[in-house]
Amino acid sequence: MYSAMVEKISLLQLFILIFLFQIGSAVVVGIAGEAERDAWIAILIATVIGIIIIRLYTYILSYQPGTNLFDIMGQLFGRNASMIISLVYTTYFFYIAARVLRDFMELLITDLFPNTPIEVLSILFMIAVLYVIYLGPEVLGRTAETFFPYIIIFLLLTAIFLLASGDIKMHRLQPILAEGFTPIHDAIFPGLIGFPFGEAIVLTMFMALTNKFQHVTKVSIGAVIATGLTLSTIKIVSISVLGTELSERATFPLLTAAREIAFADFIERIDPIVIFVMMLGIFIKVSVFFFGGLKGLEYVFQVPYRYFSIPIGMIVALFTILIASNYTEHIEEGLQFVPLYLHMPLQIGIPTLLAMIIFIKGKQKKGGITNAE
Amino acid sequence: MLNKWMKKTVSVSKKNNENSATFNSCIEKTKQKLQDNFGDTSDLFIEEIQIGKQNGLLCCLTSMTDRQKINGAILTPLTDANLHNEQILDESTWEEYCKEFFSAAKHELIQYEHEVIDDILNGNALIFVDKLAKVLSIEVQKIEKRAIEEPSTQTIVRGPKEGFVEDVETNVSLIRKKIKNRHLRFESHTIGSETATKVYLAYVDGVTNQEILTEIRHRLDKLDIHALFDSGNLEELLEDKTFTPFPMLYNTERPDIIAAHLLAGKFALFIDGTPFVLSAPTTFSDFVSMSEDYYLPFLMGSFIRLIRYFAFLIALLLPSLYVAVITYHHEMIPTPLLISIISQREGIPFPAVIEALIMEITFEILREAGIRMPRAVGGTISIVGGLVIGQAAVEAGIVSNIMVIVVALTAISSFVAPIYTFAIATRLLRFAFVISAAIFGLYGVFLGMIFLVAHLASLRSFSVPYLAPIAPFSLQDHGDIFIRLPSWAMKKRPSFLRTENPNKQPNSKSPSPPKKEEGGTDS
Repeated sequence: MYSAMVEKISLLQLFILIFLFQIGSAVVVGIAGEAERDAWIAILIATVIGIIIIRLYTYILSYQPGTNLFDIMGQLFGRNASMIISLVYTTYFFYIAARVLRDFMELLITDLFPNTPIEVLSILFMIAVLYVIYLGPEVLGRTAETFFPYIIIFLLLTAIFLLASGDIKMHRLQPILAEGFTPIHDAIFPGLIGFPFGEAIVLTMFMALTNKFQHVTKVSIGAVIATGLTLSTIKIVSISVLGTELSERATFPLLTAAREIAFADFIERIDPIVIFVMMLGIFIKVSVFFFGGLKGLEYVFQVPYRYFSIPIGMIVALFTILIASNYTEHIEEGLQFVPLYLHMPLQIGIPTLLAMIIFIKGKQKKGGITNAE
Repeated sequence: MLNKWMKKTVSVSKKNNENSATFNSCIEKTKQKLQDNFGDTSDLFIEEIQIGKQNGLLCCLTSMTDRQKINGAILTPLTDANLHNEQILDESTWEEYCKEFFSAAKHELIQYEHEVIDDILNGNALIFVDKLAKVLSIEVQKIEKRAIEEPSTQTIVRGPKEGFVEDVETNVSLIRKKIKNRHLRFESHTIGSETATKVYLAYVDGVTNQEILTEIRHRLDKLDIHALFDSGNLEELLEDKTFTPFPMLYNTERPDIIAAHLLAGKFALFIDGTPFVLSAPTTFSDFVSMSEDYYLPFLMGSFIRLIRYFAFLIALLLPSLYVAVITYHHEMIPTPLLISIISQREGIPFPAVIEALIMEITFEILREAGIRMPRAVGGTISIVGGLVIGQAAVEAGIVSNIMVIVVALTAISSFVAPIYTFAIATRLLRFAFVISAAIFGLYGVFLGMIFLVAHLASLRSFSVPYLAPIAPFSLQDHGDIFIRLPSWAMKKRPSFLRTENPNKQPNSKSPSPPKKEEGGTDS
């Protein structure tokens, strides 16, 4: 009867994980700043690219359904080479987990806990992540599933309250495409491709765990479209509430926008609640990256990933603080260094290479079969 | 019968082999043997009797047997039989003899020593015949039980008012009366090396998932426990996971709930000596629903159920949210309210968290005292509790008025959960939430929520996820979770129970008055 105990993720859970993962930190820090008031168009265009990227990942996984990225690399490159690449990926995943956590920690200490040491907050957060990951990806999927409706309801309520308070002024979105496509292009390449869409590379760990692999491509693409529309809507809301300049200057645009809410003389200053809804997205995102990294370690050392969870979890909590000495530096790294030197090769470069090898192998195999006939 | 015999042999082989000795000795030796076994306990009754032409021995425990039953089932047939004056020399005549004269009462022929001892302990009267190995065992148990009353927990306004009692046979009959289906099965198990408590595993054949049944049988068989007094003892041994504040098996005193659970595809465990019957697999939503939801109009039933979910959240979170907001996030409170709260708290020497802990612990003590104290002093608690702790504490400036309101609302909400074992889980967790709120504000509360949901998501009751059908999500089952659809709309059994027959009432339709065209004659 314990066949049900094997860690499996349902398609709905995968959808929710992809959705929450991609909006996770994107709603916190705000994206596509380069495109200014046309940012929402940039996001929509980037969504299309996001679909292509996720199709690339599911194509790689379809090489052998049920195995994750590391196993497939092992089969294509041989164990030694794949071990090195896996370690690179593992480091990358842990680094991004730390970065995502840092985004949120900065939000917490600027807005809510100016006197609390950031280390305490990050260690506490990682303990929660550890607990969930220790319980397994299935539990992460179910936790996300339980919280999902509340996140959606909350995002909708924020929009409704903003609308009702009369803060949304659509004319702030005009003129559309005033400066042509150049800013949009700047926003998409490489910024938007790497974050949030390309980061889906780590979700391949979860795609491999689903019970019906044949539908994964459809579900993933659906989730990316949903993400794109949601992010674009959020962008429209925050620009139309704050205007381009304020939205540009605000460190956390959605939060600043939510502060404008004043409804029925009772619902006002709800930003602590906004923060904690964002926290759920961040939680999912950190957990997913953390799990991806642990899976990489599992592949390299051939030891169940749970053994690594506590020490590595504490290292990630520590590196959350060590990666940058202040928030400006952190954002600078995020905008200049990470997209070009980390996101591009690891999200696009290696996966494209993998996909090409699989494609050629597939051709050869097919050719072999037709020859045999 | 075969099952019972096999169970006994299994339990015996564990003890020792000398117990498989027989009683084919003369009467004096048998008597000696019995006295060796039971010692000089005063309720052991051994009497030499005449059986046909043979010498015989009647043995029972007076404390366990019913005098009148002994008269009716043994002494009267024996006098009748002795008129015939038959000779009983071999076992086949003995068997026929038993069939002829003792068929009125439930009886059985046994031969091994351990069987004899077990039967005496269970309240049977035994008749030994000189030099014969077979012993006649007749059921003359004295059954002491209280009448069927309204249950003291889980009271309802509308619906059946009967409750289970301590006697397991009565409980079984209460269910049998409700479900007249030949597929309803009761499997007998004996659990507890000292208490030998009778446990019935009930299920509906062809509905309850076979794998789940195999699993529960397996878990019952491998139990090694010396005493079993209440279903709580058993619950702790059968759980999938013990380190959780949440109950993993449902327990109730209400036969209608157990009958509904059986028909939904769960199994139930009836334990002799306790009115609390267990059922499993169970999910989170079971503990928030109540049989009355189904007896009230569906809109009302749904509304009350939503209130119950809300009360669960209040009972769990309200004190911690209050502490978090007062300590860290004042800006969330509208200014006029904030001013009034601050002015109330002006003279209070403690931070909000200490205030909350003082009040919560006081309330927990009051609650415990209210349950344990003798009935005669019942009024005292309400005076001391309500007046002294509430009003006087506020007037003395130890706690603020608003804190008393928060604690009172929390307390009332915690009584809304129908199942006691579930309600006490929130009591424990509330303290954890208050402390984390005091240290980390809303951040602590939300992290606590993540911990709690992850923990709930990891639980399984007999392989059924505890949060089903919320996670893993299944839309079909949502007609009976947060709201209750009208009963004609619920055509299927819960899918997460993986029943053998998923359809409950596939053809049920919404009731509607006859159409005007057809029934037009009477108007």
